Amino acid sequence: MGLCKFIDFVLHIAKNLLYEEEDITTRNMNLDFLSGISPQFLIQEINEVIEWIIVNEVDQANVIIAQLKVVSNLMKIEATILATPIQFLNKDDNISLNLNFYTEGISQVGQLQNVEYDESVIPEGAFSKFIQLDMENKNIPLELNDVPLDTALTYIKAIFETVERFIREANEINSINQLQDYLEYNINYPIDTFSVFSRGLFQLFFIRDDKSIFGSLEYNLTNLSTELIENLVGKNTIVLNNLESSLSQLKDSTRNDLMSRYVGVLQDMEGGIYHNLTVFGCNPCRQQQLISKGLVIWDTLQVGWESFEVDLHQSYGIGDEFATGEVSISVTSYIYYTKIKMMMQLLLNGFELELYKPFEIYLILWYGDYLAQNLVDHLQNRVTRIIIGKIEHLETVIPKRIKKLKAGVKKEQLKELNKYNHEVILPQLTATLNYNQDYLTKSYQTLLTLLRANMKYLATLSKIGLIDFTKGPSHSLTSLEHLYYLRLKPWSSIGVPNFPTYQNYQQIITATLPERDNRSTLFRCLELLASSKSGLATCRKEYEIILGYIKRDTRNFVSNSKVNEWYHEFISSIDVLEENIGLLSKLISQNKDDLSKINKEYKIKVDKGVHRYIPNLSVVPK
Amino acid sequence: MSNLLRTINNLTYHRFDINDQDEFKQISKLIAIHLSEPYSIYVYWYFLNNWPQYCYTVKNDKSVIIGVIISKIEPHREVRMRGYIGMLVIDPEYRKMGIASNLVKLTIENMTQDNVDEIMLETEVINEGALKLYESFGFLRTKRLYRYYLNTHDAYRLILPLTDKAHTRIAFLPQLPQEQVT
Ligand SMILES: CC(C)(COP(=O)(O)OP(=O)(O)OC[C@H]1O[C@@H](n2cnc3c(N)ncnc32)[C@H](O)[C@@H]1OP(=O)(O)O)[C@@H](O)C(=O)NCCC(=O)NCCS
Repeated sequence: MGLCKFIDFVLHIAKNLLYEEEDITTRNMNLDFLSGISPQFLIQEINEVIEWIIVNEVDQANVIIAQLKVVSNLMKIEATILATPIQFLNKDDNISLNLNFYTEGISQVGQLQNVEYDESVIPEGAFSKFIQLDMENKNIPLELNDVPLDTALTYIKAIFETVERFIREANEINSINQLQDYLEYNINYPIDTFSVFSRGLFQLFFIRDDKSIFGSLEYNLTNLSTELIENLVGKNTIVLNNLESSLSQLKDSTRNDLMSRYVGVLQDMEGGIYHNLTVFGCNPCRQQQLISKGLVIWDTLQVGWESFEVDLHQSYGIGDEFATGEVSISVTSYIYYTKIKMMMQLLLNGFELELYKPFEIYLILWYGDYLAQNLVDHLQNRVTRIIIGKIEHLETVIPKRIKKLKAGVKKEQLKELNKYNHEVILPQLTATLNYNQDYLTKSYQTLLTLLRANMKYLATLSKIGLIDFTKGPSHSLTSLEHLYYLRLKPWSSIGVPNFPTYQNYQQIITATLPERDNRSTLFRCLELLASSKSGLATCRKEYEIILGYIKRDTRNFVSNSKVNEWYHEFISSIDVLEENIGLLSKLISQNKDDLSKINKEYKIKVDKGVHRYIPNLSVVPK
Repeated sequence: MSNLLRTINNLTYHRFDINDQDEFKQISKLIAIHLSEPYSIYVYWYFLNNWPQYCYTVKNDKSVIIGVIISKIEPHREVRMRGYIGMLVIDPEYRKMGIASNLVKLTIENMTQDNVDEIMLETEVINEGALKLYESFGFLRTKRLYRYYLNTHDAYRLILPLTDKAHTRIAFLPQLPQEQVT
């Protein structure tokens, strides 16, 4: 009965939180999996049975009890998952949670794994095709999947481990950066190690039906959205903090118009953020589809917000400004950042999913380079200037205003505000600025250098004829131009940054073709490889610095963050690239008088790389 | 022999004859034995019945069907015409002789004449033969589909783009004229 109840919960998750293509069969042949009974009731029943077993000294009692307890602990997941009091963004002492039943479950499964079963006495056909025909069932009766016992136990153990981990770590989140770190590196990055059940459960646990986050009483989608935006562009964003009072001087009708427009764009923003938050717990294939869909959503958001922020400033002088006095469109800048980040993820995740053929790899890296460059520019320029503008506003504009005021209530109020700004807001702005510069920008800058170093290696492979990026499939029945645009279709509708044309790309790949003679090719190859090597050396140094930053900084990363693995994998990919370059350099120097010999004896082998963004193209004998 | 399209290496390529019960039976058998995915008979009956002109068979000198390709053409979200290759099977004894390539080419040629914007299909990530075959014609892997097949393998969605519409996002395409949609 306990198992039935657990199945009931699994079906609930499959139907409500997963997509139809996922691997849980939801047809129930009209069987009732005890949906009307609470898990608590059955847990109690199991406890009583266990007592009975002990009192009556039943044969093999410890095995039966362990089995019963595993079932009982599986039901406890349903019984407690939404009631676990997560201290999300609660900066007070971390109250640790009682998650003992998960650890108990793990050890009970371990105990069962050590028991040998005599499977010959298990009755055959306990759920025969015959029964499947008899029940309400539109599908062809199937042989039941035969899952070996140990596989099943390992699977159950992994459920306890994964779920316990994501609950415990969620409870430790004290800042928005930690939330992002948790979602990106402890949920999303290892998502393919989550079972389908754990993934669905995470969705249930993370964003609740009432749109609250981890069931927090304080945080729902609305204020979380503000926090997320200001986490990049800094606190004190005028349009996000009490806009209504900034509009109080305006005519009623104007104010109402602006407010209703404001409510609209805010709702759109929440919709976009909600869309992105649902991505983390999905399987990697579904994530891509959601990100692709998200690009249209976020591109539209950008248009809406940009016109709102610009209008508000142009017509009424309301909104954040750079230190120079021009409008800085803070929210739009967050949207733009998010959008480019998604564009890059969608692009570079394709390697992991093995979507790209060798002839496309240069294109992907080139476009990735372009996006990373845009992202770095955006962070270094606009985002930095926004925060500096806000700092300037608090440090000089408000104190000047105070000076001008005559003594009185207004002056005192402003003085009070000024004090608060200096004590609370300014340190926050500085912290955001530092994090953006020392970590975020560095991380993308290094990725950019790495992509470029990789492209130079690939260009060398092309120069000596080991690969030709200007040639598509052998018997292609369509044009390379069509293939180019099909590959980049998800990005094609994006206006800013500019979508590169096929002609742009043509110029780039033509430059990777062999030079007019052996000597020039040799010269060019040596140049490319030297430059690639020096780029890689820079990346290695930068990644070490980033890892040091993560180690020192406890406020922005969760304590068991897998972000470390992420960067270590980059470093390992650099090792691999350096090895490949070493080998290629050797071949080039051995054949420097006739480089065309190389491609007669060697070919390229394409594998997944260590880091998911860096595929491994190695040169191997034919 | 009606519906004969061409003869290559003593094998004859035909358009499916909807009135021939035996052909249907032979095709069903070939599919049932050699495709990993268990298709219900309704699935290919649906294809054959609605788009018989897009089913081609290959017969040996004893008039036994040793290869078949089944496809359809439909408007996709009312904005572009999509050809879809549903099934392709060659009897193992006749594989690696270029028969599948011929069938795919035949299908693409006919679809091109019917002005499709793209041709699509799905295949398992581990089906190296099929991937190599389609990709050599220019099909691109546009999506990876999670555990698409019942035997729990992922699949790729492959697309061969033939017109500009194939690479324009749906939201930015005008509706197809009414006569093409219905
Ligand atoms: C896939 C299948 C249709 C290929 O049929 P076929 O007639 O052997 O294919 P062809 O001889 O036309 O081969 C076309 C190309 O694919 C390659 N190829 C075919 N089978 C291959 C295999 N098993 N491994 C590697 N390459 C293979 C051939 O080398 C050839 O490339 P080339 O021209 O560069 O030499 C056939 O193996 C089959 O029926 N498989 C089972 C059903 C199936 O998987 N259908 C496809 C799913 S929609």
